[in-house]
Amino acid sequence: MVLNVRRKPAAPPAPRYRQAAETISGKYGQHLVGPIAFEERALKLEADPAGLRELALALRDDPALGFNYLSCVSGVDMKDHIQVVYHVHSLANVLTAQLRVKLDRDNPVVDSLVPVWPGANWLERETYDLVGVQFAGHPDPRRILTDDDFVGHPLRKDYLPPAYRQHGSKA
Amino acid sequence: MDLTLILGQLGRLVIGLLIAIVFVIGSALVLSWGDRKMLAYTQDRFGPLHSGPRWLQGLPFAIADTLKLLLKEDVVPGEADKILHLLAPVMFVMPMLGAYVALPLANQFPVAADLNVGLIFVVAVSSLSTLGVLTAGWSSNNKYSTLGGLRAVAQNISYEVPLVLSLVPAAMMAGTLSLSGIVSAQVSTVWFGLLLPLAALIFFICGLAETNRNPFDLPEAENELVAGYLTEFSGIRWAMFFMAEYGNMVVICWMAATLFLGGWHGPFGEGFGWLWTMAKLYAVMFVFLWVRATLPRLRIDQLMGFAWKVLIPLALVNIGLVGTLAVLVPGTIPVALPLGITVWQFTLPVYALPLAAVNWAMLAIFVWKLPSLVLLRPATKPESARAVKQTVVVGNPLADAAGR
Amino acid sequence: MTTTEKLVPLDQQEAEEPFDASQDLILNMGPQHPSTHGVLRLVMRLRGERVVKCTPVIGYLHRGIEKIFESRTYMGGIRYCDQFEYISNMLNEHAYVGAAEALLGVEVPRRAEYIRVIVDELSRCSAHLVGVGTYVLDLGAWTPVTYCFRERERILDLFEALGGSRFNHNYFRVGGVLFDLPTGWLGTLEKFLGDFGKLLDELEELVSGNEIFRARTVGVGVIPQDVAVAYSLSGPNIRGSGVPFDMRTYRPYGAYPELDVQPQVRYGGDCFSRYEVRLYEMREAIRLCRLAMANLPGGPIQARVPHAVRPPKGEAYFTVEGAKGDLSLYMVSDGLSQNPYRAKVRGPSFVNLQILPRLVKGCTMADVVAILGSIDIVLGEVDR
Repeated sequence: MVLNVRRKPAAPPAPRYRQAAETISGKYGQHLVGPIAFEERALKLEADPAGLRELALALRDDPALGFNYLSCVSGVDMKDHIQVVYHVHSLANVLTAQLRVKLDRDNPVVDSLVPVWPGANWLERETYDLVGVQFAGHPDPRRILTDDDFVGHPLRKDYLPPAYRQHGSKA
Repeated sequence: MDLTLILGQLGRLVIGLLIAIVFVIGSALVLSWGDRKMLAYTQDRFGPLHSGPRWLQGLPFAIADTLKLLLKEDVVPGEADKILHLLAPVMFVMPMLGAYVALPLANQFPVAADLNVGLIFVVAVSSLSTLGVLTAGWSSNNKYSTLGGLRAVAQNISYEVPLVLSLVPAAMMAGTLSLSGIVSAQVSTVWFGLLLPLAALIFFICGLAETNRNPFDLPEAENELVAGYLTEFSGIRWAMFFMAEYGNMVVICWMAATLFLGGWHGPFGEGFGWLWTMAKLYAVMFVFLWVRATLPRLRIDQLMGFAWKVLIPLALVNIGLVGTLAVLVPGTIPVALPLGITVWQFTLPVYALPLAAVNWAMLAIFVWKLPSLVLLRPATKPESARAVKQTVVVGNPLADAAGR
Repeated sequence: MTTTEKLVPLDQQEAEEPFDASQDLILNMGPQHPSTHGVLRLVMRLRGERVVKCTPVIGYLHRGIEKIFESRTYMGGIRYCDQFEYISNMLNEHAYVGAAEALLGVEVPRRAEYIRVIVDELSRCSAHLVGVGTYVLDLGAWTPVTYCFRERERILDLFEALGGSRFNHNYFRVGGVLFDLPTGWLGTLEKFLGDFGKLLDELEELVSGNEIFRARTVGVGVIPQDVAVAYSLSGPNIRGSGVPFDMRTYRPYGAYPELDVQPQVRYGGDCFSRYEVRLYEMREAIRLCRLAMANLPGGPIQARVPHAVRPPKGEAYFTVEGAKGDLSLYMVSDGLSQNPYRAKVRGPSFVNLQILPRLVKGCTMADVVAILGSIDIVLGEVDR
């Protein structure tokens, strides 16, 4: 922690975020893990991996929420577990939510959200490619950025790049 | 037949072919330079500049470019049909050279022979070059080449039809198919381009399509097909295609000058006839280059639709108009037009007056309606068109955040 | 929008037509091709000129930028932002330093924010100039692209005067910007903006009014609104479909809330609308630049930030409106290291490209080029 940084005072979230949080925890609380946290312009939810797709569908289809725009899917290797973070926007209600699932590091499997947000297609493929998360029910579960015969997942923290390797070879 | 006559005619033909070859090569050299220069000036660039002294504006670049092409390795793809790949440039160049035989340079001076069916000969022979393109596309064993070759055949055959149809009115007015006869008819009356501007424009558009120039350069569309049927050609074979393309352009421009712009007809007497032919030819050529620098490319269905649904009916209407008026309105009138220092005297058939009036009117309508003709549907105003249904609502984040 | 099945991408939903060897042609377009805007590879099944199926293959330019971020300090990563997307570099730097600042919680001086707005908008212009110019080139017109690049050169000259570098600017810093504006820079900018407006008028006359251009773009590649949102399109692609989704107003950042941004929206949903959105965004950028110049405050350009930036443990998601759309950075800090623990780039080109197979289905080969150009991708950002 650096002390001489002049920190910006954290602004409280807008009231619409509190309303949305109440809706989510009231109606769909069974899919959540832990309480809902707030940022200035984001709701932070943590979902149960088993209930992720139901929660996502509910977030999209509930008229009070209407999270219809998936912005980003990020996989992070947290060393003891792997987390997948979805950032979704609700265009009509101007809300942003950060949806997180924590997965077992040795067998990271989670439901694909392509049926909910088709834009997740390549983002999930990328997450599979670089972090190694398996998305169950993905329509096209292939690598996307690296070669098809690439070994390993480069953004895992224990990934060691070979000292010298010819492009594409398995050695 | 007399042996000396045969030999004499043969000799004339050989000389004519030599003239054609030298002319085509020289023309291609100058045009490849002029094409680049023209494009460069349109695009706010200098173009070739550093070959030779500055005052030549890079003209020697054309020679250097040719030498480079001749010295390049001649690559033949391993899977290509080698014989056809070898023959394709020849099949493309020969018809182009053959077409020069009948073109008139000046009065009583065709390149090789003053054929009495010169018009048909030129059109027929030059359309053979399509075969070379198809062969090039097929023999390369490359998918881009094949697509380019197929596009070229579809396009050239389609545009052959309105091209010929647009020439018919000129032949009808001259009463002959001989190219020098058509020019003579224009010398005694008036340039047909002034009487048949619509036919001239159709001919020009079809000429662009026949020579695969913008906006009809689909067979070698760089952005879709890399280089179309030319993809697998390099070195001297590519140079032959390159030269023949410019040669074909010269043929089309020469035809335009002959049929619509009075050929060798011009001031300062017959001695300057060849100069006038050249001047008119290169004036038309300038427009060719200008169009290239300006217009985007059409799509294949729009291209074909434009030929079959617009150009061919218009050309047919034009033919009917000339025939009907020529039969219905007899007689001639003498006209004297003062043009600066000289007076242009000619006799005009009476039917030419209503013909010219109708033709210019049709031209005006054609140009005015061109947008919807190219689109083949009424041009919409995209600014006002709400083509997309409003199904998504986006809230205003600044509305409830009063602090911002 | 209610059933799940309806939103599964069309190309994966329908049963594939059987391959007919007598009619079908597998055409491998790219990775070396004049109009795939880089090393994109499209495997297309053609039937005559019609596209039956198109599969984009990407990754030829993958350099592992996100992995590089993890091994560079927060300051050291900024220069890599110039390289994952090499057309609108300043905007990428803004996204990166924005995420780092959010992690650190640092308050950026107002003058720096205004300078950022100016260079952001100039960078957006330079990206849209490339986008519009090469788009017209894709359609076969040779000339407008040179006019566009001529003006882009002047933008790069301005950046050179500002930060010393034409292309890899490395101008943003966590907590501010590197240099203040040089003397006379604003005058040069004002002169440029005047000429630039004239160029846009010229472009509009030369390109938008061209019948062949309209014939090639109006009604081609129409994206309905719900599809645009479902496929997470952003930037000019979604605004061309009539959705006023602009991160400068949706999630305002920096000095944008004070500048009254007008999102440029067109309602055709086709290639022409997307092209026009880009054209009018450049006009909007001129206006915003002028506004920012008029309101440019004095003061420092750099907050007090140590060289060794070590943010507290946490995560930040910072979004800017990039030239191609929603350009976001998700940055995680472990609170120990001077390097980001994870920096995920949400590249708008990468997400926008997903819709291509759906759009080109049934189009002609020439339309593939037209649609791809109108989506306006940068392969450096698609592959990263």
